[in-house]
Amino acid sequence: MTSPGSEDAEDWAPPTSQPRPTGWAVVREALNRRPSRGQWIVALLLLGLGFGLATQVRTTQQDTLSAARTSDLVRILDDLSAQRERLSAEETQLQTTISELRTSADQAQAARDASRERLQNLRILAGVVPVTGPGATLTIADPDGVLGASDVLDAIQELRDAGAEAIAVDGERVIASSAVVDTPEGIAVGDTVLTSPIEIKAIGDADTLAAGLSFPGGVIERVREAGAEAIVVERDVVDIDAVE
Amino acid sequence: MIALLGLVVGVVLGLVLQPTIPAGLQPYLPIAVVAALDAVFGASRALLDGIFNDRVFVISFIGNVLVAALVVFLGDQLGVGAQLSTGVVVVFSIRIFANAAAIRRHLFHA
Repeated sequence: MTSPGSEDAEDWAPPTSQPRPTGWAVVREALNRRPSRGQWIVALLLLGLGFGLATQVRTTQQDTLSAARTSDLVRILDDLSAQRERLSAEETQLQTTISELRTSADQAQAARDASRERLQNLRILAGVVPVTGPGATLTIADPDGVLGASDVLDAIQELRDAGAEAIAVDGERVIASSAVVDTPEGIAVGDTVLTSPIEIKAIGDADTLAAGLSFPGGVIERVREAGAEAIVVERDVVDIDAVE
Repeated sequence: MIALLGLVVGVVLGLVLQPTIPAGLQPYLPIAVVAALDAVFGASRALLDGIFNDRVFVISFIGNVLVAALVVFLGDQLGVGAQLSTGVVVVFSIRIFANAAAIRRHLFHA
């Protein structure tokens, strides 16, 4: 008798001529055999096998980590560590990208603000928008018409030198291209012919504007020498509504 | 018949009781199960060959399980537990295939 486990032969010997029960008959006979003591022991062993099989299958499905070997756990841990490092590097990269984008967005915003401010300044200088702010008004009473275009031009130039941001003469906005000329009807600024009293409004620093007009030998003194009257008044609020 | 019943009852018990395997035994249970399966296939073949014997089966069953567990235990002590487990499973798988082929020839003559 040989142990069943030691039968490693791949090829099964063909049936001998001696009559033998067929395989199915043997199986049937085995199934119908009356339980002997040996059969009980076999049943007990198979019970243990079934128990172990079911337990192992359930454990494997339930938790793969607790059933894993130390070396496998180390490998899994290594994999996870490498993955974490990769993800962490990626996170750093993304954070850098975010801050770069934020910085460039801030710069773009600053550039937009600067452009808007510059646009507003240029609009004021070009005289295409109404302006309100502190400033001064110069009123020239010239009932006899002794003054000429050069006197008005002097006044405008002085105001510009004193830092006037916007100037209007009798409701006509004065800009870089405005012309002051003598006409048969009188002095004309742009299309407007001035009538006495001439009112010149300027927006800027009120003290500087007034000082620029009233210093000795300045505009006011020359106007008075010519025989007209001029008064400068500093105001907290001057409205220049005229636009070019 | 009673042996088959034992197998079924064992599976049911394992599913119903849901026992927790002690940590120390965890590496050995799968190997023991494969070794026992090999013994069962060998016994089935022996039955069809007409040389089945209760005593031989019991000894081969217990011996298979113990030797397999011992080999894996030694492997774990030597630091090659994973490789030896694989080796044991491969060997038992080959034997199971050989025995299954013999059983197939008995039953189906093919």
